[in-house]
Order: sequence, then C-alpha cells, then structure tokens
Amino acid sequence: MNNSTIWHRLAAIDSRILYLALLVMVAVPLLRPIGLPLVILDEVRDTLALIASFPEGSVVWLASEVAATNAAELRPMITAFARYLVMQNHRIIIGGFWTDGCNLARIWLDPIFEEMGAVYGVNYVNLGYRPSSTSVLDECRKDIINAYSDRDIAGRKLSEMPVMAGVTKASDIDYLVCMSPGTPGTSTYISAWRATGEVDVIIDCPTSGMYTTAGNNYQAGITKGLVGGLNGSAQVEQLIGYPGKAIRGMDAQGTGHFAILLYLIIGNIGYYQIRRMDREAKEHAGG
Amino acid sequence: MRRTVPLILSFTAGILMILDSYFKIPIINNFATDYLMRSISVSVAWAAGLGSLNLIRLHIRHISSKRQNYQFSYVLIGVWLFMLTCGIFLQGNTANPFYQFFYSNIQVNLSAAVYSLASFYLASSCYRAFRARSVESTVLLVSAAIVMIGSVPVGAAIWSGFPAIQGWLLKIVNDSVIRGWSIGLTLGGLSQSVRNLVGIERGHLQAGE
Repeated sequence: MNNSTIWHRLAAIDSRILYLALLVMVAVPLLRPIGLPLVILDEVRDTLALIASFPEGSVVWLASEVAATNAAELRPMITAFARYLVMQNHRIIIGGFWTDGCNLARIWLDPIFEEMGAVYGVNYVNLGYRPSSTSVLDECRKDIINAYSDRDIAGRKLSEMPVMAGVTKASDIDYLVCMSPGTPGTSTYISAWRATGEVDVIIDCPTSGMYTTAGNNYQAGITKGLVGGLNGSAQVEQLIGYPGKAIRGMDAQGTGHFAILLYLIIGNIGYYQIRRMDREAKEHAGG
Repeated sequence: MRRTVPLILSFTAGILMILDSYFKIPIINNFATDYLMRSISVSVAWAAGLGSLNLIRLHIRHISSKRQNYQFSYVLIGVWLFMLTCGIFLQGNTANPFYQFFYSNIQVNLSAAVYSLASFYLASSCYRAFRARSVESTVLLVSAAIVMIGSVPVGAAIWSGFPAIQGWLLKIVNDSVIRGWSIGLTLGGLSQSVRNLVGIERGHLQAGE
C-alpha cells in the first residue's frame, strides 16, 4: 500500500503549517480590515430599543462578569454597552463576581466614561469584587450598601455618592446588563434577582460559547435582551455609531472560521479518499 | 458523631433556606440572610486562602525534592508573594498604579494569550479528528460548519442563506435540545439535593475515612 499519495499527504499536514496558515488568515484582516457588511439581528436591535425605552436617570446594574481569558469577546461588548448606557444618561452600577471583573471594568471603562463626560460617583460607580455571588446578591435584596460594607472598589463611601441616591435594595434597580462567560453569570442573577421578583429586565450578553444556551432563556422571556459574542458586540458598535474593536475583529473571526472550515474539508477529503483506496486494495487482495 | 452532627447541620440549614425561599417569615428570612448566606462568603474567603497556601505548599515540596522543572516553582512563589505584598501593603491596595501596572500589563495579557492559543489547537484538532465516519458524525459536521460560517459576515457574503440556516439551527434545533437537557439537569439536581438533605447521600461526609 502506497502511503505517499496526495491523499495521504492531504490527511497528514504538519500542525505547524496549519498554525501558520491560521495565524496569517487571522492577522491579515486585523492589519488590513476587509469591512464586510454585518447582518444585524432583530434581537440586538430590540435589546438596544429596550434600553432606550427606560427614562433618563434609570438605574442599571452592569454586571462585569469578565476575565482576561474572554476579553477578546467581552471587552468590546462591555465597552459598547458602557457607551450606550452613558448616551442614555442612565445611572450605572458596576458589580461583578469574577475575581478580575470589576478591576478590568475599571481599566477598560474608566477612560471611556471620562471621554464621554460621565463623572464617577454621579453617573457611575464600581462596587468592586466580593466573594460569593449567592450571598452578596441575596443580601442586596435587602440592602445593597450594607452588602458592600458601604465601600466602592477604592474604599470610598457608597452612601455619599449621588449615583446611589434612592438605590437601597435590588428592587430599586431598573434593569440589568450582564456579561456572561459562564458562572457566575446571567444564570446567577436570574436565580438571585429575577426569580425572586427584584429585577424583571435582564439583558444577557454571553460569549459565543454561552450563546448557544442563552437563547433558551431569551426565547422563554426570562431574559428580555440578548446580544451574543463578538458578532453581537460588533452589531451594537454599528448601531450606536461607535465602530471599534468588535467590528475590526469580525473580519478576522470570519477568516478564522473560514480557515477552520477549509481544514475540515481538506481533512475529510483526505480521509474519504484513503478509506476508498483501502477498501479497493482489500477487494483486490480478496478477489 | 462525625456523621450525625454534619447531617443535622446540613438538614437544618437546608430546611431553613427552603423556608426562606418560599415563605415570608421574618425571623427565618433574617436568619437565612444574616447568618447562613454570609457564612458562604466567609467559607469562600477561607477557601481562597486555603487554596493559596495549598498551592505554595505543593510548590515548596517541588523545590525541596527537586522535581522536573522545579525552577518554575520559584517563579510562581516569587510572583505570588510579590503581588500579594503589593496588593496588601501599597497605598490604595489593588488600586495602586504599581499593582495595576503589573496586573494589566502582565497578568491580563498572559491570560488572554494562553487562552487564545486554544484556537490553534482547536483548528488542528478539527482537521485531524472531525471526520465524517458515520451519518451522525456527518450531520454534526455539516451543522457545525453551517453555524460557524453563518455567524460571521464572510458567510453572508458567500451566500445570504447561511445566516438564516444558522439561526434555524440555533433557535429551533439547539434551543429545544438545551431546554430538554436543562429540565433533566434541574430535576436531577433537585433529587440529588433531597438525597443530601435527608442524609441518603453521604459520600461528602466520608473524607479521611
């Protein structure tokens, strides 16, 4: 049996060649964006319309459940939403139960808030990380200030901040926007605040991986908005008129997906042909 | 005794939490929030400390027995001590610019880089392992390919039907399956909780025996 046919070579390409090809296919559109048009989903359009339906001064809990590992998808997402929430003049309370979540929000969002003229303590506040989402969220049902020991991420008094005026418990929050790479994430807030009737409107912003399960809650009406993955972030960026990293990243994601699809096809062509040749060889040997 | 006391404690705590969820009884609601729920925060904080100490103990053992690549254990312990010291003793703690510099320029970037490497392994494994060996695997392969290509602009540019088929696969086929298994998962979790609560399941009490 000849093992050096084109089909054998096709089915056994060196991993380093595959890595290099993928790197080139992802890097080129990042350096020279193609600018393919986005398909805007109804769910993204509806989500932004829902946020716009809340009056100025509404209180939004921006759940920064992010980490460096999902920054590629959720950084553009939380950035686009932060911009949009400031544009709506809503009061933003940033909380999070991933250890890096609130710190990353500070690094990523503070320059954006500053650029858009939002004032810390007046238009937004960052509560900082607290261990155990279940107990903190449960305590917030009674007293948010107490649950956070009356201190924000930098140790300043929450009770003296105008942004917290009239916000004493979870039911004072008008709606929630949750970045969700897993648990803690949207499901945590659903159990803690949605199921208990504290917050009715939850907008789910999962990673692409979590998007496959998030659709279920959205379809059932448990979450009222859904924007998923880098694709969703790019759509938000386009709709609010602030093209950023997500739109640039979509070209690279597209060519990356295309590369993986090519690998699938090439690998399967090689596999199919080798299997056919093996079968024929056996028939010849037997006949 | 070693089993009975934890069983009584977990049964009492469980019943109180169930009552707290379904009834408005101020004395139980307050007890559940002020003591039981807060004890979770305390446990989590202890677990973080315990985990750190355990990690350091493990790496000290690596160094003392000079296991393979033990030099990296020095790096881990050194970095752990450095960040811990900065976070606790510098003015402003983790908000201190010195701490933030190391955090945002090293930890964040390294974490993102390591995670990004997974995409290369994923691409390689797709090529090597994702084979149309049977009807089922062919259906899976075709669905995966359509969802993948339909979720990016290049898919719509190739054929406008890709996003529509991808949407149908996700919203109809996928959501139905997810709903089915999530209901099953919840029922399973519920029955497991009842078994733990009433003491039928005692595996978690057998540590050290």
